[in-house]
Amino acid sequence: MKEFIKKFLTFFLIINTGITIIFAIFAGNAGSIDVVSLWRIMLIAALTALVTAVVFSIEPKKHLTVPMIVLIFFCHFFVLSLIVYVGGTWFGWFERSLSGLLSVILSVGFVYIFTTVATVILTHKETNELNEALKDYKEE
Amino acid sequence: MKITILEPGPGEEDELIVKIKDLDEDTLKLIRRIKDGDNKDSIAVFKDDNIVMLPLKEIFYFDSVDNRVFAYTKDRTYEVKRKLFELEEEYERTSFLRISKNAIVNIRQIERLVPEFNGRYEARLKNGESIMISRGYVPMLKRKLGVGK
Repeated sequence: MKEFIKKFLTFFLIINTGITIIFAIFAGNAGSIDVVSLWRIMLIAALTALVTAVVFSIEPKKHLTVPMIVLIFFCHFFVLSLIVYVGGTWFGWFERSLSGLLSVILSVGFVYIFTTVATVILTHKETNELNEALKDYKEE
Repeated sequence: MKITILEPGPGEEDELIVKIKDLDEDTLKLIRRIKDGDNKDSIAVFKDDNIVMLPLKEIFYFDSVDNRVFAYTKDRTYEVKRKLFELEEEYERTSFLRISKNAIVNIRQIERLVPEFNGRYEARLKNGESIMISRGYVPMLKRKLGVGK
């Protein structure tokens, strides 16, 4: 549970930053962001972080094949897009139209890439630390 | 049970002969204890019904398959007639570490660690084999290696 909460908070911080960047870029023309919008951003970030933490808590018994990874990716992306679309149209961020849907997909895509890059950087750092520690352990 | 102790003849090696109808688990444990003695550098394993003393440093990992435990060296496999949790307890202060429900790895035989999907790690061993480190056991690995203190 502790690991799950840690994972959820990490994803929440990254996704929240990603959504804020998107908001700053596309809603920046409005001049300023009100406090209600900030809470809404955090709500969407929390929901998508929760889904992401659940997906990344699946521990398959065997190696995942590439088709399985692609399937998980598409299902994950679909659920995230659904959350952002429902929430976004509810909060008036997106229109209920094809262009609104495309905006959602592009926004989710941006945050997805942003989160992936951030996660890869964090994982790479941890792996380097572990491999260095392993080297030291073997030399002891 | 009859116990006979004989003195070896001149030039003869010390030998313990066990003459038994059914070699049960208790007797095996006793034989193993006698063979292991206080020497924790090796372990009694089985190869083709023969007991072999295998140096621990040669073992890459222990794996449990269908309730049987096996020890894997660079290119050989031996059966270890013990439970995985017993090995985990006995060798917890050595370079052996439980890395999943069914495996214990010798950290000194890991070439490098590669991140996998969902917080797991793949341990690439010196003999070219790979073994998965479950997410739940990664904190123990970090603790053992002194990472994140």
